[in-house]
Amino acid sequence: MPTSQPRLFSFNAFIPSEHAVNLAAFESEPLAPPPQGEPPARPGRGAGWWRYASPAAAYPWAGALASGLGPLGAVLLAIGLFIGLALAPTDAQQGEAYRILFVHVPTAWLAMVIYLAMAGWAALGLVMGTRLSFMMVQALAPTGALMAFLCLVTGALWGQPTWGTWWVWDARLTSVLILLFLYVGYLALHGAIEDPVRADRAGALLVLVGAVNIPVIHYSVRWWNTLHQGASVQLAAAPTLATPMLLALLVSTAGLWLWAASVVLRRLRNVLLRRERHSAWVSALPEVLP
Amino acid sequence: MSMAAFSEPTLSQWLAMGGYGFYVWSSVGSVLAALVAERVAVAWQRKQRLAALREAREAAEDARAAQAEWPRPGGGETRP
Repeated sequence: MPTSQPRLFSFNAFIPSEHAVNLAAFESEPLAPPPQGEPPARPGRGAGWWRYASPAAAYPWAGALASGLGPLGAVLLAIGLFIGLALAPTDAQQGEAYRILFVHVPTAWLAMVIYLAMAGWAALGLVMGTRLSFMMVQALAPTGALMAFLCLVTGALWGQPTWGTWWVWDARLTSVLILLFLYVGYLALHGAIEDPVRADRAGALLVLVGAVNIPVIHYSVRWWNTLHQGASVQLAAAPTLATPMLLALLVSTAGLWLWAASVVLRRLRNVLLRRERHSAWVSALPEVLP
Repeated sequence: MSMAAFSEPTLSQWLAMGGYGFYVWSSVGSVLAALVAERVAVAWQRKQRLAALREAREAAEDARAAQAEWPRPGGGETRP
């Protein structure tokens, strides 16, 4: 005998409001039971994960994650910088100036990783039509832009004492500058279009097209003869850094990334509050009550 | 070589960073300041959003209350 099952998620949470489907018409018809011999769908796996993509579900989990990741990131960043600035040995070639590495490299890696994450969310949003994906792109972009900017600033402060110049039109530096322009371009484009659905889609396309710049940044020091040094840490090869230097770099990177994740999740909550302001779940939030 | 070469650096020596103090501390300071500023900006944005939502909620409740009062006993014939 067929029995009705609770719906795990609402389709309307993932599509633009003007395309919302009236699911009430299907309510009276119970879902067919699974054929004999096949295991029933287990909650929490497969389609069950989609329930966390609903804006109403994302708001609390983003807050809980942000509260945990922020302090953890701050502690790790402090430990990493302490090891890097106070305990790691002096570099034989660059002296103490090399210690800029402990802030420059984490910001550079994060600027690229955030862009890749934006491209992934943008692709997911365009293919699946999930609103939360576009909101994630919107929340990631300012932090990515900040990291690209900090990477360029710290790079200039490192370049002056070691290369004798603040800036050169080197392949690595120029491609990171293009990355900053891509971030700023996304923010400007998204802000300029009034209709949020069109803004999301146009911004996602720009992000996807600009993703071609990420491998260019990574391989620029191999493809061209550049002033910028090669990678000190690679996945497929032993690092060229001494152990305390490597430890400081990895810990400060982990700290910065966790801190940035916390800020992005907090910004995601702000984006949710703004874009879902007419929803009943926003009006029912305890922090909105007078 | 004297033993002084192996002694612990003083605070002022450490801050000087072998003559590169300006570059090293400017880099670290700018990154930390930007991280804190971004976090404060997000918190301020949240405060603004919540205030706007509360204001909209109160306006909606006032409008509902005014609607419930209508028509007033002995009041006018048309709605304002």
